[in-house]
Amino acid sequence: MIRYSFRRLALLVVTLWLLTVFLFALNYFFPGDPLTNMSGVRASNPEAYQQQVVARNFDQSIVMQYVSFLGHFTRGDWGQSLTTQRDVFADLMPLLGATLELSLLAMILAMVLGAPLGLYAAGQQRGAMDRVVMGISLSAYSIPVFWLAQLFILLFAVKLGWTPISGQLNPLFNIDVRTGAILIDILLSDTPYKKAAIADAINHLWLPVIVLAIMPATMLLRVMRNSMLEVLQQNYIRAARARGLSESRILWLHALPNAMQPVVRQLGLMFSILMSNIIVLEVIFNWPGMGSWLVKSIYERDYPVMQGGLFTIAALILLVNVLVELFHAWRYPQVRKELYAEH
Amino acid sequence: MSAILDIRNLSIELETDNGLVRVLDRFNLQLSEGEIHTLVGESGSGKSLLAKAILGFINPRWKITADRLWWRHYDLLSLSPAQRRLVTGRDMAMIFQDPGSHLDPNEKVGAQLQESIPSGALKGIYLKRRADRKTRAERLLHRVGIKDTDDVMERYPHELSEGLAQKISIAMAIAHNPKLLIADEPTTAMEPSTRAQIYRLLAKLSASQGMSILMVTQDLTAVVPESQRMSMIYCGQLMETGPTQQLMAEPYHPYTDAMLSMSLFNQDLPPKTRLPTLKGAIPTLQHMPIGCRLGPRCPYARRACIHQPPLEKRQQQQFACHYPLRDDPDHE
Amino acid sequence: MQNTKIYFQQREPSPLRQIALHMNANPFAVAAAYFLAFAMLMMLLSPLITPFNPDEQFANAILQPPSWHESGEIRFLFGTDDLGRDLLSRIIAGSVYSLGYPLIAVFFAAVIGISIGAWAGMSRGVQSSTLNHLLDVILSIPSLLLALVIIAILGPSLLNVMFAITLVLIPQFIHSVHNAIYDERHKEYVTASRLNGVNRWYMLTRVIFPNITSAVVMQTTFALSTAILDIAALGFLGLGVQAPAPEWGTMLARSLDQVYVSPWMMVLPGLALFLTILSINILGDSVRAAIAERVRNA
Repeated sequence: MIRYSFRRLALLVVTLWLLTVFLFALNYFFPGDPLTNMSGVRASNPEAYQQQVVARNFDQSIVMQYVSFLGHFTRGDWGQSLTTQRDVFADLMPLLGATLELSLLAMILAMVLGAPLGLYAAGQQRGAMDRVVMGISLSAYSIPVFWLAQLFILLFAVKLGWTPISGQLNPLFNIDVRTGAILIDILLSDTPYKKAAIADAINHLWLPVIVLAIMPATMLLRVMRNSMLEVLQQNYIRAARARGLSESRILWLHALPNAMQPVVRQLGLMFSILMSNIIVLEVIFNWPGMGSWLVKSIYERDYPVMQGGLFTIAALILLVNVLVELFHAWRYPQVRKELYAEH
Repeated sequence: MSAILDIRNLSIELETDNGLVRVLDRFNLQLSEGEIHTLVGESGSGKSLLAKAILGFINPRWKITADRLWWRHYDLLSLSPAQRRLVTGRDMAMIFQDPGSHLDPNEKVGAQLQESIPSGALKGIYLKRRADRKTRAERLLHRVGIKDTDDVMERYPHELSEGLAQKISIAMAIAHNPKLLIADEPTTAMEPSTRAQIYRLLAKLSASQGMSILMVTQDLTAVVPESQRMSMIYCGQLMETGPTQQLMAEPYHPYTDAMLSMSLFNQDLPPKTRLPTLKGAIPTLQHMPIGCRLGPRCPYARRACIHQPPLEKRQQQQFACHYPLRDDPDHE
Repeated sequence: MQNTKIYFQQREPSPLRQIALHMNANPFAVAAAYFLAFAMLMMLLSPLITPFNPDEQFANAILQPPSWHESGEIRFLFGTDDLGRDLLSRIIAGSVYSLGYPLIAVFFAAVIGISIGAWAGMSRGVQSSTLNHLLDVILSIPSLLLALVIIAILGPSLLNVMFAITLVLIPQFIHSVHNAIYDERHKEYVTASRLNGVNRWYMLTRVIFPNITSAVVMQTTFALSTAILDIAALGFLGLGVQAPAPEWGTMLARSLDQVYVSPWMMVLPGLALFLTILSINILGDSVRAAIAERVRNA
């Protein structure tokens, strides 16, 4: 397991390094001056620009430029925004918090909804309810997320008025942004209206979380159902029955853990789908997170911000994938055997 | 000697796309306590299905009928599924071919072994029970001839060899001291030395615990000397049954005779002789012949064979054939 | 004449036919196939069958509700948008952008991706495992994000979107074909034909390829729904097909400001998008189920 973990983590480091090479190359691909794209300092400000030329080795070969880029990058100097002139890295942290809050809540909701429903459908195999559940899940899986968000806003926010149309919190609650995750920020703050603020935050949160959770939940449901049906046909389940183990013991201790295996393997994929949906959803719900920031930077051709957003989202996805894989290999040892056996 | 397992005229029909197919046709089997009974039949002859029917792994698409399917004093067919599981779970156990796939791949062998020990047998409170469970598991492993218990219990099923996995399956099967062990081709695809080990182990267990064993195999060479009785099954029909030695020495049924001459032990054939075989191939499920199913392949078949012959008894041997060997001078 | 067919002989249908039979038994799959055929026909005939020019603005009929609404007009079956353009015509014309262009993108991605995947699958060693690791990394990043990067470099336009989507889909094809071939390559029947001395080209096209058809079909349907969704999402974000073109995603984005007054502007194009993706997914799903069924019965 240790050897496997090292291999996987080394691969992650290599991947992240490749990502920085890609980012560096992007500065040349983007229209305009590479140094401006990288640092956010325009040539119209000759003094600062000259400073950057020296600091980022732009008077030297491209290899040295990359080395300097990597140095700045790892130190957290990701340049400044072309539109607001603010430091990208400092801006990014609270946005990341807001996005993580949304995605984690959605992921949890997806698991709470998807896994039991999948088990239920497996129990009703080929029965009427199974078909209904699977039909709904396939439809929900096919709804474009931005359309679903609009429909929900129309229904819940406009027609029923249960929830605000967009945003993260009523600006009247003057909450300092620290982590970006609104619930944590409220708890950390010293506002006298904590309870009201939390209620308001939850009121803003639930609609985007539900919209986000639907797609991963349906994926989870399908994987869970199919793998459960598969596992119940396996020899070791029959052997356990032959040994006279109780049905509930077979189900909870043998069938379920094994059925969870493909589910765990899918978690990484689910997270990356969630992230791509979050980009669009943050725009619709006007959520102050990574996604809307990234899209805005593309509109404004704000290349330093774009790089920062791109790297963060990609790194997050890669990290989650590696964590899922490590967990998978730790929990399901026979996977490791397959990995070693591969040539 | 009274039979603990008594099966009379057991039929199993499968629903397929082409209608009902009778895969087991009026099958009879009696098994006494402590006896090793070998059931020999080619693949597809319905022998695994019989094992499943005894244990109650019944698919709703199967139709099972029998004049009698008794285990000791329980009529298995009239019990409810829950009661039946209780009885079979307590008194019976089964081991399979391909033992590796019959262990949970994601749990250590030790944990699975300990799980199969019935909690009723343990004494003491929590911690003591755990320790007791562990020692019992170790003792089970010793009994199936595994010495390095600590190492084996820490392994995952994919880290075991086939022979070792089968021994562990046996250990798990005998954990609750079953009265009947069904061994469904336990040594197919194993090396001869491992195979011999497994058979010796099973025979020893039977002798030391009075456990009956129903040994299912497709190969006469796998019939162990300890086996007291054996039955020949072909396409779901019982061909012949009787004491092992007697049956092997003097078969009445042409099928047994053919199988014996086909398995190449004790034969001194001159070079380049044509090996004896039965003509034709095993019929597919959809195209079972009427009457005696061996009919089209039987070298002695006559007109009467389109009716299934009744089971006839001679001394301790029973056979289902209209024209048994050694009756008719033509045969010799 | 004497009947020579004494025995009832059961003929096994060919694999493709078995799949077709199985799909026919599923009413949803049949409905999805018909819907998709209808959508394609609509797309091909769109210049002929649109009631109005999709860009024509009727100044006297702005934000007209659909005809079933009490203040609707039968002239504009699905109503009009905020510039007075006929919604039905725009949806029909939009199928070219939202269904036709994804089809083209998937076609190119499939041709390129399958060839590279086949080449990679047939080669061995470091080359193939490096590629595999690299693909794993690329694939873990959402296709939409990659498309966004490419758009950021090239700037938003129809051609660039097509380019971006095609580029993003290629690794998916490479990956699935490579994996499928890799799995097959170690099976006995392939070894057997290698021992028969067939050359690599024959091996790939005649021996392995028929056995990975199912993987390719599934990947294609998956890629198609991804492409449709991504093109619509890019259009929705204003980074894809540009405004006057009646692309469904762009229409949805435009409806964002009008949704309170005229919800049909949002519901109808979205419905078209949803039904198209749904029918593709149903088809893909039932192909998968049919193949699984066939394998199980075999």
